[in-house]
Amino acid sequence: MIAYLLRRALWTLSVLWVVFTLSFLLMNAVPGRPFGGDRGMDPEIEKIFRARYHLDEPIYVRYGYLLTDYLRGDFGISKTLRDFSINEIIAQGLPVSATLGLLALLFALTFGIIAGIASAVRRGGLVDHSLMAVATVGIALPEFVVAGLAIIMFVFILPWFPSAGWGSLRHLVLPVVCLGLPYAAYIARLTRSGMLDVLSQDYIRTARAKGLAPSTILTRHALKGSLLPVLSYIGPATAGILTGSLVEEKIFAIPGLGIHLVESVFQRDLTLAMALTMLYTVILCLMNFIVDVLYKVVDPRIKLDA
Amino acid sequence: MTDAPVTAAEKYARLLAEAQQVRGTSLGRDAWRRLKRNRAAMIALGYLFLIGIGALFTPLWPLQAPRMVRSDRAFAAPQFQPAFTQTTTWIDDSGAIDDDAVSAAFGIRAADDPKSGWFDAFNRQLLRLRGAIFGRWEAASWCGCDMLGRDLLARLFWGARISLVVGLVAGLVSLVIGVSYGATSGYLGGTVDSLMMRFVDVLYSIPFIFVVILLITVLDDPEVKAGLSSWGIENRITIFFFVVGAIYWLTMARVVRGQVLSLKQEQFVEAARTIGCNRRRIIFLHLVPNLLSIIIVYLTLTIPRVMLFEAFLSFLGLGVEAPDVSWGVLANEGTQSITAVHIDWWLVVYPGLALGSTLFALNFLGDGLRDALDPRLKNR
Repeated sequence: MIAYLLRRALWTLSVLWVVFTLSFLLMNAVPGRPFGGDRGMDPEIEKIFRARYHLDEPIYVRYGYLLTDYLRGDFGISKTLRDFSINEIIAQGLPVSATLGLLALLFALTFGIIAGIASAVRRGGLVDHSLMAVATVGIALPEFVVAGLAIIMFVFILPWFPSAGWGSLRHLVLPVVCLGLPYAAYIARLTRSGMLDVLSQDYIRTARAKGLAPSTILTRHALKGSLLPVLSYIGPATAGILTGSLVEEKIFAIPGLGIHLVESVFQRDLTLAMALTMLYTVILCLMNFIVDVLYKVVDPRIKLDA
Repeated sequence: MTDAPVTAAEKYARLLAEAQQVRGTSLGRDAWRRLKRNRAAMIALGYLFLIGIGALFTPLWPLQAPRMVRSDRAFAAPQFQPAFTQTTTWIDDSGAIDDDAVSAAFGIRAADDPKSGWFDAFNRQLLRLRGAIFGRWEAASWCGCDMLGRDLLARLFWGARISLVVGLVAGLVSLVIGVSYGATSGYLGGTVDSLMMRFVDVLYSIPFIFVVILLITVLDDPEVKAGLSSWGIENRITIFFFVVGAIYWLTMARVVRGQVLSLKQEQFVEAARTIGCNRRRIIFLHLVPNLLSIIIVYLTLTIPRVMLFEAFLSFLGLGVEAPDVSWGVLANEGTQSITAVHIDWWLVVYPGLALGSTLFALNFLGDGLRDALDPRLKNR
């Protein structure tokens, strides 16, 4: 187990290193002007920039400096937001984004698993068909269109929720549901097929023959086995929710990290964009790591090689 | 058993006659027969065909000009009364077409423009044909108007052209990369194979969306742009093709490799090797045609993902550049224009419908094709 964990951690680190190097090379891709154009840059910021990022040194030296900075957890300074370091921006935005993302993931998991079990138990029923419909809509419509339609429906036509902002529970409902619903539908379908698979196994028949209550069979015997496909979907779902949160944060004006990433792209603020890219990559890699380990814990049949 | 005993020769002759009556069926025909029985897939196919024809011959339809700005009717709601009006401005009563007006209103370059290519000529011909058929008639704003008073219906049609081309070309790029990579890796096998597949594993774990955002930010720099246009790359879409192609080939490579691993044990590969075919010939002439079914299926499932990605980039303002439009751009403009003051639902609903229905159809077609080409995969 420990050898496996070490190997997996090494793998994660090497992926992070690849992304770092790629991003660094991209940032320095503009010939003669590292980190993009100087045009319109505040002269004061430019001076600090030159010193901070060692712009007078050759590229491999800068690479070393930046790598050590990142390893120390110091993401540097932004080109456009002069009163904040990138670390401060992250400290402000990350809790908001994390709340949004975790709630959406939680919503997707609980709602998806419950709905999946319901539709497996009543195959071909109303729940089953409506889940299918929601899942296909999630595949076929971009997040911002779904969010736009939701705003029109539940903010303007039916004035139930505020259209934008952050702070109260009511602010949370629309973004979390819009962000999580497609994944909830997909998780429901995974649970459903996993459940149907498990319910036809011999040990379920045995449990039934012993005279256990149907609910006990579902929760005690069938559930764990049917959740394996869901577990392996958490990785991709996290990736989707991370990118989706860029969209939702912008549409619902939520002061998280995503909006900073979107803005940094518009302002061509490459240091900020790179720091946020790395942060998102770290989150994603961590999530994949956890899922892999959990997978092993839940299903002992899985072999321990990376 | 009532027949008189037959000789062996007679028996074989009868068998032969019977065999000649049986018509063999090719794999493709068999799959087509199965696909025809799948109603959802056939509807999807028909719909995609219509959309494709509609987009290809856009200038022929009596639509308004997609770039005609009319501030007097900004955010005008859809209207159907009257359904058609005689109001085109780029064509006069004698049927002559004003080239300058056309290039401003449609973005079709005039014949004397040095940048004008075969596609502009094609569009001009269609416009001329339209003038001959429909005269000065054009459709009213059935889908409403956007913030500059441009007709949404026309913009949807012109956007369809770009959205579909983006999906197709980027899908094809990813297909070429994925198939060559996967087939090569699978056929060579051994250390090369495991090295190539490890590389794919690494790429798989990189969250490319963020890297692509960074990449396009860098490519948007004026200086880089100037450098690129000296290479003949004028447009962000061109870059998009390569970027997407470079990301979405991973699944294709894995699938193709798995298929090649089992195919290369077959006797026809051995036969090809015996008559002295080299590796490249075996891979691309003998193996790849046998992968066609799986390639088509993955292509129909990759295109929707690519189109969604384009929409996502358009939302970030990194997609198709104005004055060009795509469905993603239109849907984004619609979402941006939502305010409490006026609810311009048509600006969100119609682009969403166009994008959604097409992606729906592609998904249905892909699923149908998968079932038709490989019945064993069904219900898996």
